Amino acid sequence: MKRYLPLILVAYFIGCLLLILVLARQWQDTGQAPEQPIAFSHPIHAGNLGLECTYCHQTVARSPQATVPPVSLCMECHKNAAIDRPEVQKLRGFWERQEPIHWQRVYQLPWHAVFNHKRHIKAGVDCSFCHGELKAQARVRQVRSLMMGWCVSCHRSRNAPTDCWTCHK
Amino acid sequence: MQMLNELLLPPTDQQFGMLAYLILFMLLFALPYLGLVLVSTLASTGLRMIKSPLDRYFLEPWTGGGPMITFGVIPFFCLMFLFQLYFYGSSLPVFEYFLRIMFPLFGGFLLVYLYGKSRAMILVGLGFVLLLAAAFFTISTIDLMLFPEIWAFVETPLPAVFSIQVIIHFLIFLALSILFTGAWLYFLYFRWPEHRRPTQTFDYDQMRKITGGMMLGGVLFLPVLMLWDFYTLPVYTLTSPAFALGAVTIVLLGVLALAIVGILRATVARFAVTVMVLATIVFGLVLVNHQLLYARANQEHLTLLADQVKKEKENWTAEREAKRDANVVADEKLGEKIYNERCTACHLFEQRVVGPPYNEVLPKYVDNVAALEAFIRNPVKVNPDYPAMPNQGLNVREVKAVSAYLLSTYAAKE
Repeated sequence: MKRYLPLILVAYFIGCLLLILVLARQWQDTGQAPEQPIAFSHPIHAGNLGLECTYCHQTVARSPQATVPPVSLCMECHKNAAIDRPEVQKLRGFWERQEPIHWQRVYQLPWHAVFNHKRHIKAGVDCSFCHGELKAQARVRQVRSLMMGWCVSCHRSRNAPTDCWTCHK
Repeated sequence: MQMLNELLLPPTDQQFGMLAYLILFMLLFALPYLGLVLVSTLASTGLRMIKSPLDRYFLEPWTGGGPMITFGVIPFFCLMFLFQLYFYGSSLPVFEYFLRIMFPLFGGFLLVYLYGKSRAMILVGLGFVLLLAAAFFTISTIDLMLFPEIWAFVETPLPAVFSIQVIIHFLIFLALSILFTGAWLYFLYFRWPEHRRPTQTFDYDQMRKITGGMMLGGVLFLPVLMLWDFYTLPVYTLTSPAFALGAVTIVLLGVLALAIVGILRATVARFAVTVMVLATIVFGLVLVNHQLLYARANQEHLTLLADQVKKEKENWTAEREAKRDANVVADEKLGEKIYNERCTACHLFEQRVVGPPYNEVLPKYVDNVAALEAFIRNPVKVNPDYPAMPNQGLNVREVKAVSAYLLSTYAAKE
């Protein structure tokens, strides 16, 4: 046993190294900001141009989902605006081919938790409270843990219901 | 402490970046030193209980007044102010958190220092417990940087204390401290210049085995703890450099482990410098790695905060200027002087020169001197028949003076 100690140690550390690489790979696939079919820039639209969040996410205040806007809404401006940019040309390609854009979802709650955007907007929770400062996110990434403890802390501090049934229907 | 909060000016976004480096710099002194004292206190007590004469050599190198103040006391005061700035805009009672750290910390240091003089077991036992509590509170306070999302809700550090991350980070700190202390003790007693070495009665073999065992324990536990840490960290804190640095740390730990096996197997002392250097680098790398996680976790928060601070500063400057302007008294003599030097080149009362005659433009300002002052400070084109008036670059006092002079002269002519 003593003779093989260095070998055992080497195997142990290589095992740990492989595991950390596996974790990194897993994080790159799921946790990092996913690459989108079009590199839509929140800093340009919400920052420089000063568009309100509801300009594109129109249903956020009146339905459980914030929803991604239809291509037709993008085309209202991009029929004429910035048509020389490659990313806008990609958008126009989708429009001309009448194809939907398969945006990658960034914020995903587990199936057993129900979240309603409308209720939170009505309660005066700012979008940035959960989604961070989109004006500074070139590529959107998850900036909150979305863990239950976090949700419950906020509910408690605002005297919102903390009944299990509120979120787990 | 409200008073302390009021002493701090809101930092700019560049300063926030700088703060992270300063915090890291202070932690690089404070945490390894705290670890050294903590582990050597425990080891010394254990050796004392088994009646080994080695016990005092474990505490001797770092429990003098000088190192304690330099590495134990001063960094924590600096960290208190740095954290106060870092958490600016949140409702976190940072000062209270640091009181919670500093009482047990300084108490523990004092008791361990007294133990070095009197060798009373009660002192060292109590001192160890206090230092352990201080270390735990330190880790839990630093780890608040990992969870900007809970800052709005945390009143005491307790919620952070119960998080799995704090427990893992505390265990990582302990494992690092054991490795670091073992490596430095081994280095001090086997490679330090001859004159600092202990006397002939010193049991070198026992020292080598104890420090080697400590190092091996630390080295074996660290990778598992690091993996557990990466597995449980919130997704918004992770970055590719953090993973890369984690991998480099594990490779270094592997090299260290082989060197330690070499130390334990040999009958003579060797690899002393190697293990000391590697253990120090590993401690530093782990701290840098955590700093990367904190920076990523706070990226969003700092952007929001920089905006808020910018707005606050603008309001603050506007308020200050309004206050200052309100106190300026119009000095008509100065106004006359400026009028003759600057204004008459383009304006006269009765006739058009470059600009319109005063008799035409002043009536609208008779009851509104503030509008006239605003126009002189920031002239804009009003009448398309005339060219725009260039900004004269007058200060508030001069603008007030010349406005008052113009209006009183106009009133006298009327």
